[in-house]
Amino acid sequence: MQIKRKLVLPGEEVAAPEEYLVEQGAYLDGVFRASVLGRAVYDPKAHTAVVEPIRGDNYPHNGDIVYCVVTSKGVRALSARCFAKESKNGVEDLKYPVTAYIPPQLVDGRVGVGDYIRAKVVSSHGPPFTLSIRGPSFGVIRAICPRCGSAMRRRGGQLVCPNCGAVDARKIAVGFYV
Amino acid sequence: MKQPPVPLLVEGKRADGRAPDQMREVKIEVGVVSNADGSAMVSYGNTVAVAAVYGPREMHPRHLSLPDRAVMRVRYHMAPFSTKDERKSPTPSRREIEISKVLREALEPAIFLEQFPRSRIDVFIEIVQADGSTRVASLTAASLALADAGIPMRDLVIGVSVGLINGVVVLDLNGLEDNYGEGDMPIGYMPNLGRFVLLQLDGAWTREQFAEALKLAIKGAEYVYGKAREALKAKYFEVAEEVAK
Repeated sequence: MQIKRKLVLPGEEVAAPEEYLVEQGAYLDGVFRASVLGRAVYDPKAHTAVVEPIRGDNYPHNGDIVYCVVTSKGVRALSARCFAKESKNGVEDLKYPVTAYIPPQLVDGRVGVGDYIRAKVVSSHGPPFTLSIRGPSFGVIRAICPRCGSAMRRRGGQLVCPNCGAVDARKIAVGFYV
Repeated sequence: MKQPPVPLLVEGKRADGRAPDQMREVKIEVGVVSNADGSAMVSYGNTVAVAAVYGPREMHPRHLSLPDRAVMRVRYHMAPFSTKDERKSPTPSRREIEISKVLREALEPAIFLEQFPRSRIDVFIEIVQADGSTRVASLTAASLALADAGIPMRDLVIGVSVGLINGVVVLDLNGLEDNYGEGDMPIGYMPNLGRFVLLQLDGAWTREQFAEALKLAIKGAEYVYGKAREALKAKYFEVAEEVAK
């Protein structure tokens, strides 16, 4: 069976709930209706459909992976400013940067002020978003030397400043450090 | 009562030659403001409204944010050169502030604001040329701009106005009919859901006239919705072609 597609506008009927389960980009109001302008893609075999938005809202949501810069470090949390997020098409800039914080229980290692981090949004209550850098692929992707402000290089398990020679440790995002 | 400079309705024809149930020429274009996240230009005859949407974005000042949904801010403004007679003061007037509030309240039920807590969505509407029915043209433009910005919505909101001239219910009032008509009813309608989101009324209407006006408004809204659909398809022509294959 062939996968069917159609262009839908917000409010247009996507499918009947008896026939398809629409997993994304739609809401149930008797029938599934599109909530965004996008392409409805139907899988007749699995009886599922999705509405892929043509233009996303370019805003972080719960579960998204974001890139941020740590702006301050407090006793209760780290503050950060997010400027990009990962999407299907790679990393895209957020048109409007958003503030976020990382509570200590979700930090799981050392992070310095000025560091660039890869983190996951774990809150659904909007800005300031709660982020988590738990897990091997989350953490610092570019560390800043606490002494001179240069970008630090990885050497073995440590980070070394090529400018002043300072040595420090960070919770590195494995495979993402630049 | 003020006397119109020309008769508004003669033998079933209006001053501009339209039938009572006829809309003016409707032109819709989407994506007209490149700096905005979403934008649209809607013209009902000589009335031209441009809407631009920015957001969702973080709410500043933060104490104005709402914990469970986004705050929507709508600014309706008439350009100083938009009117026929004297220059309109660019200062927001009482009328503009009121229309901004009315439009916000008409758009809010159509948007999934609860998906963006503590955030804001800004809608700026500029009337470039005014010839009656500016608030309904603005409503259509704003809803298309929101859809163009990728903001999740329950349905598009289409605005149409209905009026009363010499006891006859007419669709889509122009400036002359707006000023000299007996009644005026701007309506916001969600065509797919069949729900009204805006209904204002002035003048004295009978129950029958009111029912007829609603029917006429739905007919007008469905016509405008068809045009809006075409405009969005034209903007996303490549996507439309791709899904047609």
